[in-house]
Amino acid sequence: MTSYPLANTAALVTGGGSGIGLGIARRLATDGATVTICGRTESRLLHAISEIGPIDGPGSLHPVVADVTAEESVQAAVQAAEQNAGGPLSAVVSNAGGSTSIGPVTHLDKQSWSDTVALNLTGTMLVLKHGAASLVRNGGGSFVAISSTAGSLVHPWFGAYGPSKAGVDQLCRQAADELGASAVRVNSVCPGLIDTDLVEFITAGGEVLDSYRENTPIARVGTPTDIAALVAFLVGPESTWLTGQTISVDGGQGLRRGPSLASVLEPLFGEEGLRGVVAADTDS
Amino acid sequence: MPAAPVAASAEQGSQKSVFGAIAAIIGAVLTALGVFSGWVTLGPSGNTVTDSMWSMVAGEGFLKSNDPIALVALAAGAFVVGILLAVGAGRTIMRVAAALIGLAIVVVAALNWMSISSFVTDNFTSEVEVKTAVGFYMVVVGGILTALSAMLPAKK
Repeated sequence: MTSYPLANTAALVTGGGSGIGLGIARRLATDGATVTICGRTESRLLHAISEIGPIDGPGSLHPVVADVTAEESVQAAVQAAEQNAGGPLSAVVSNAGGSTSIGPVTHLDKQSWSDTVALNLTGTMLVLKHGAASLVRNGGGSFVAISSTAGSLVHPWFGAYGPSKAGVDQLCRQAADELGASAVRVNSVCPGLIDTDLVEFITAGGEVLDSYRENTPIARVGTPTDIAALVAFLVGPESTWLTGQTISVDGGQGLRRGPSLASVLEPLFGEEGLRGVVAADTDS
Repeated sequence: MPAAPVAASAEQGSQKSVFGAIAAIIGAVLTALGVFSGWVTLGPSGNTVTDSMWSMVAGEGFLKSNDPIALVALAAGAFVVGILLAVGAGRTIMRVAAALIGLAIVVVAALNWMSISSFVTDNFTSEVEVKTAVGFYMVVVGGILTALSAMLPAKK
């Protein structure tokens, strides 16, 4: 007899239309959860649901268009997820993220920095604010933020990505302390290099991928299912005394160091640019 | 007389198209040369680098692509079409082939460029700019010439 450990779980997964988010949504739904996936592009969400196909058991998938950087949009997404589930949420996965600021720190521009922080950190804060309120109404639940090894391990030239993910980890610890009294658990998961479209430019091969492998004891590229397995555990009934933790799923990369993007960035910024030299006419 | 149109059609099918052949062959040569010329210029001002499209075959990261191989194959196809237009073999089929190959050259070039441009815009600091280089224009013109070769008249 098939068991569904997440039956009666009402979940929201942001950035659920592709990559890690899609992998998480698939896992939660096949484990029996009613999952609402949100993202900015409706066609991508619908494609994701059709790609997963029919789900055996009580689980289901529902799309809602939302931009995690806009508070009203996040609020509406939480309400839509509650409507889909017929009540408050018991699991929220804040997965939407990315970076528009790859480059040396002396070449960072304010807009790219702000956009990356808005997507990764402010977006997680907004999903936490409205998602956790629903978890509290439910009488408890699990909030999981998808962070990154770049939040704790130095990743040179990753711009605002690492700092914003470090903020996500600290936000989760703070929220875990605040919300424990309401039986809401808050944890962050830190993936290493995962095989998704977002990093296809790395996983396709080359010196950056080689650098990742050299710094990863289990030297393979991770998959969305690697991350989804931990998220299912954190959302499920076997982790009810686990909160405030930052857990890496990275093949052990956290034991060593971040990758070098030098082979990609040196042609763009020059050897001097990578060590911080800025031409006089671009120093603004 | 029912036989007349068939004879006319067969005659049209073997007509030589000198102008079409020249256009297709020049299109093929331009496309091939463009693939091996500067394709994209990247970098912040003061430190730009220009990469050829062919370098993407063995390229690093986001510049890794098999599109150059596809374009060289299309250029070879355009060259063959040009030769066949010159000798007048299968003119109707060659005209369709020229149009399709020319269109494919332009589409492959445009999609490759768009993927590079959107990747840079989406990921790098705004200091990194991406610009087309001469090879891109050579390939686009090559594709247009190849497609146009289908429309040029045959020798009377």
